[in-house]
Amino acid sequence: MEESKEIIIYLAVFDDLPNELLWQIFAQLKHRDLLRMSVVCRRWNQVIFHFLNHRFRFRPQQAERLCPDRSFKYLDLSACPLPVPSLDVKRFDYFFTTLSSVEFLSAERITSILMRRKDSHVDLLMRVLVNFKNLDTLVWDVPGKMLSYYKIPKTDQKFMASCMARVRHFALYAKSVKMLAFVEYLSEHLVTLNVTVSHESLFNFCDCYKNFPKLVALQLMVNYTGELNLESALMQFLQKLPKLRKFSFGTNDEDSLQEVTEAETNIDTFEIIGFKDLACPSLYLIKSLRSFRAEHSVILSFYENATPNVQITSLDIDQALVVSVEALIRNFPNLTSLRMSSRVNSSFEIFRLLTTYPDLEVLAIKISDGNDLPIILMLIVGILRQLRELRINLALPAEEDAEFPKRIEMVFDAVLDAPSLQKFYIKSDVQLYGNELILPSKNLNCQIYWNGVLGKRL
Amino acid sequence: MSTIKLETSDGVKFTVKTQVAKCSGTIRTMLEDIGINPQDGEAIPLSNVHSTILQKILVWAEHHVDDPEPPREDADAAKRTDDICSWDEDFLKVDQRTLFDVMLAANYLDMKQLIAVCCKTVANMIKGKTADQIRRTFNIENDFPPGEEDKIRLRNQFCEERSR
Repeated sequence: MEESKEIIIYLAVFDDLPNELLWQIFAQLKHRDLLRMSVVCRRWNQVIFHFLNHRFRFRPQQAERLCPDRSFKYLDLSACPLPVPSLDVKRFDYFFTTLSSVEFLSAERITSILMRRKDSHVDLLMRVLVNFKNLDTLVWDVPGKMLSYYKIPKTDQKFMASCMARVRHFALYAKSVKMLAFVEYLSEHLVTLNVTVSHESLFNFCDCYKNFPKLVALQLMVNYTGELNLESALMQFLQKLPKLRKFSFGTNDEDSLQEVTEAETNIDTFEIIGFKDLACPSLYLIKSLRSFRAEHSVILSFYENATPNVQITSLDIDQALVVSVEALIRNFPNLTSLRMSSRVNSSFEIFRLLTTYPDLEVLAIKISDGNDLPIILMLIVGILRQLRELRINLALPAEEDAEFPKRIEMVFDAVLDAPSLQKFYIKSDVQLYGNELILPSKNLNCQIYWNGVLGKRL
Repeated sequence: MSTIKLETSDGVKFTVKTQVAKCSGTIRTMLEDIGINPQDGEAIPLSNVHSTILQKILVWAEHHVDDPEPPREDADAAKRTDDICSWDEDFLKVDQRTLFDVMLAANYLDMKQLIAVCCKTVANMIKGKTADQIRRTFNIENDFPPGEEDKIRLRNQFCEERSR
């Protein structure tokens, strides 16, 4: 190595570091240090502001929620720990005066908040509700224990409730008896409500003295596996909801479904979540019902002499594995929408379904033998003249067949002749050549998707 | 073992093992993608790096030349800063200005591992200090207009004092 000559060299100072290096340094530091650093100088203040924005996940994929001034309306609190209450902060100060930068800078703008953490505080929820004045959607998902720190006297509760944002869409998945109080505070404005309750809080919830004058959609999950013994509590509660149109019920107790069907309501959509083995409830009792949905891989059974559910036109048992097709037809004679793409259907059963429901507009079905696909597709487009949307869950062809993808593409030519079809989805393990579907350029209104990829037109 | 020549901003030429030089992403790209042929005896010019700093960086590269590729980390999560190995710790026991010069050079040469360890060192210098202490430590001028600092401080106050 040659000797270096004696030159006076310029030595760097902190300010010479480019922003990308500052970010890397900041990435090593906690929130608390960063806030302290933000008052060191103007440059740091700006860089830290942007850095914290990034860390708090004001993500560009939320871009559709941007305000006109390109600031964000959506806040994910899961990554952004707002301060939790502590001994030396008085209750009023905690809620109203000691605001953090996020609340200070964007409280007015934010309309949607997501909180998904293991643990949190009831008080934090209160703080969010009173400080983000324009909040419209709140998802509070805290599967762990929600602690409560401050005791709020009855008189003050009223005052706090009056300060809260008028949240219209509220999803609350948390374990705490106190949490239901928030549902009551917000009840006047709620349009959709998703809530998980324990067995005993279910009764508190149903006895809720507050009304939900605007509630349209309710999802009620009961976190209890035994019998609920509701004694018409749920029935009476449902009857108190004047605008309810959609009810989703998560339970394992078949008797409680009876309370739903016997209640005098105006619901048009009923959804049940959580059953593994389900006897179809007496849906015909709900006169206004149009749509019934069962989630999870249920075994759906029907009573032999059940009254047909003539009013129901949409049936979604997409996850159901075991259903008797004949019983299904007896119970739901008037379907225009049928989804059952988990159950294996024989060609005969598919034919039976098609001829029974010639007016189907939406159909989702499983075809287990890929070799049958062409003929079944021909049948479907030939019989269902009203069909708008078709979803096929396609298993592998029985034998390795190199010609298979090619033959399938020929079939699409026939499918495109169906005048009403707008969307056709195929889910399959079979890969197409180059993962691309090339379709002839006729009936351009129809979109065909292969494993979620839109087919191109010639 | 193949070697290449590097020339610093002050005209000093270094002869370096190719493998060591390839710790720098910038030099690696020059050799592999652009196809500069080091056998010609021509030195690669590093116009942003002074010889004193390059010498230091080469010592680091020589020591870490056999390190495995670091696992990709989640850039958002606050990382540990107490996992600096003792060799690096001693290596970076230099005056601040040299440290920043090493950082700038490492940034120019694209040496991610060296940058990471430098950033951790600086972060450790910042941790737990007040704004005033940080200003004194790094000789940073408080350029806020009067009153502005207090306003921001007030806004941050809660978190500063009570967050855990």
